[in-house]
Amino acid sequence: MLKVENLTGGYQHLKILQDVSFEVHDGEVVGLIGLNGAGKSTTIKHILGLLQPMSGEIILNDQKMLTDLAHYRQQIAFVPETPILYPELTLKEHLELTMMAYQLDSQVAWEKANRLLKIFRLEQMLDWFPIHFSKGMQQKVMIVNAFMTEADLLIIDEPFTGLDPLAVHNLLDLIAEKKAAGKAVLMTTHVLATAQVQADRFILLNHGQVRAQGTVAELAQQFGVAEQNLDQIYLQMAKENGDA
Amino acid sequence: MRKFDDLWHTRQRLHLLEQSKYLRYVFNDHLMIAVIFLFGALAYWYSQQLRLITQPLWWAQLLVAAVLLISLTLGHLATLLRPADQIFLLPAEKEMQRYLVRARRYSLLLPLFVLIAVVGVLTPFALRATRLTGINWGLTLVGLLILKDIQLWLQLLQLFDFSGRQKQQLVALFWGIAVVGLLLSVYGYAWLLVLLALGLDILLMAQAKKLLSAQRLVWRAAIAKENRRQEVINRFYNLFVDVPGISSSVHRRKWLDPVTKLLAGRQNNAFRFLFSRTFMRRSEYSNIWLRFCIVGLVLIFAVKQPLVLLIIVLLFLFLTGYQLLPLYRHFDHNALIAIFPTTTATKQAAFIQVMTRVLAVEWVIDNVAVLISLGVNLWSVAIVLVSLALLVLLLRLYLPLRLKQRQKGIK
Repeated sequence: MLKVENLTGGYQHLKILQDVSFEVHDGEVVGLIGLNGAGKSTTIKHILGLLQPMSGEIILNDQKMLTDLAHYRQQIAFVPETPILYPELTLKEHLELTMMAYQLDSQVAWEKANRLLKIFRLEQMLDWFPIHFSKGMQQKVMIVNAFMTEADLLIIDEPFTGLDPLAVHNLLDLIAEKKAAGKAVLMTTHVLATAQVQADRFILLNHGQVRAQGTVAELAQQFGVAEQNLDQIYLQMAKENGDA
Repeated sequence: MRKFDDLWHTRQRLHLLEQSKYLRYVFNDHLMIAVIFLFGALAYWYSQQLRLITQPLWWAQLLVAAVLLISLTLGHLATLLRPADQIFLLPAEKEMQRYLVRARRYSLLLPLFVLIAVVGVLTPFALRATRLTGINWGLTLVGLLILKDIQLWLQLLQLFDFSGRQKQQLVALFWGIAVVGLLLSVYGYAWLLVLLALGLDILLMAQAKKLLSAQRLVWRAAIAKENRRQEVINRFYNLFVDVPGISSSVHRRKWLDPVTKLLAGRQNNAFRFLFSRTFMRRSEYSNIWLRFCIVGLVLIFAVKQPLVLLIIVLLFLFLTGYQLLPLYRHFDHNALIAIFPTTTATKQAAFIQVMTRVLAVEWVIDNVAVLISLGVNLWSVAIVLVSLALLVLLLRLYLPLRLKQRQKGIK
């Protein structure tokens, strides 16, 4: 599905990622974790093709990005960390725009969208301007936009911050659905306890490098912490970095 | 918006609507009156200078070429891209090529108009001060317009992921052709410029589709570029009316602290403290003052007609005071200040005290300039005295009256 090979990259002259390699398989949910500034969002930007790798490769469904950019992009849906919306478009128009951009069949897409809107209790807000919504509701708009596509790979940046507990629960269900349908999900998060519910594996980034990867049990063993106390990993890692 | 192809038209319409909304404020503003005066003065000076030219001047060609070259830098590619595009439109990058080509076509309109206007203004000088023929001059205009077309193609290409070196080479090539071509045309070989530019333009148009298809759009950079472009425009509008999202900047200006202290006075008056610091550090207020001082100075030295000078000095003093009035209400939305244990009367007095000092400095600057420009004579002394009288009336009568009205307006 998604293969990141020896990726080194960052912004123009600022190298952030150093030789990062990992894979996300079909029907798998992978959590990308790490402290602030570890390179999680930068990794995502590279996968989306918003940043150009300095070296290394990103392969999606056996296809490199530049061979067919449009096709590559159609296979990815993205929920950004901070909702970015059009001030002058209504919720309905945001959805329509996504359908146009992904060239979705509007009837099928609307069926999906309506179901998602109902789940997130947004179905009455179609004619409102999402720019005036609360942060959590904006986040839901971004989630609906991403989840109604047919994309094979869903990338979700910090999905749980700002969402109410019910929405967190719903989102986890939706992720499980995508997983069951054979789609791949890559999400970054700090909230390990929540992510643990759905994530099959974690990739731990530290200073732009993959520090460790594996299942919860594997990680817990590597760092010598209890499985139900995975957050301890961060403390362990901070100690290694000499920060704490 | 039904189809993706409508995206450009929808955005263009919204954009134009917004521009017309802000332009209405720009043209209603007092500064426009000042600018019209300035243009009038410049046009008069230009026509006077033209009369003095009776034979070709050796530097005229170079000056014309330089002005044309500078005018080429005006006008940039307006893509109207929004920050949300890098999420919503990412999968439609192929379709974006058509969008961007449309954007380029639209971006061409205003610069072409400006270039024609610049050439129009230059025409009497160019034909009088050089030996250029009308045909050559006409061909120069055609070449210039084609150069602009090329420039916008290049700006479009720069949004894509070419290497930094390729981009630099393209830019260098463009300016090379522009400099050489314009120099050739002011020395009588405008047809060479047209030929060169047309060749490059056709080459670009033929290759554009192929070039763009092979490359990624660099969304981040393209959006950042458009944001910067719009910010420049909005900052300009913000001089006339509040533009949402543009907060006028605050500068510390530590080096001006002694002046701020003078303005604030020695007594502990909370409002004088606030007004003086806000005036000095907020560009929206200090720029009004600075703007009128500078435009005023330019006009005083450009215009030698004493009566016109008198009107300009009076008008500018009054307009400065008038445009600084919003400073009085700058803190109206600050809850902390609303509960200050002070009275409206002290606030008004403090505002007038600060304004007195600010306007007095402008009065001194203007009148020193008048005395230098006209010399000491009956007219210049009259200007000094009349403008002083106006200043006193403004500070003693007009401002207190306006502030009282404003106070009523709130309640």
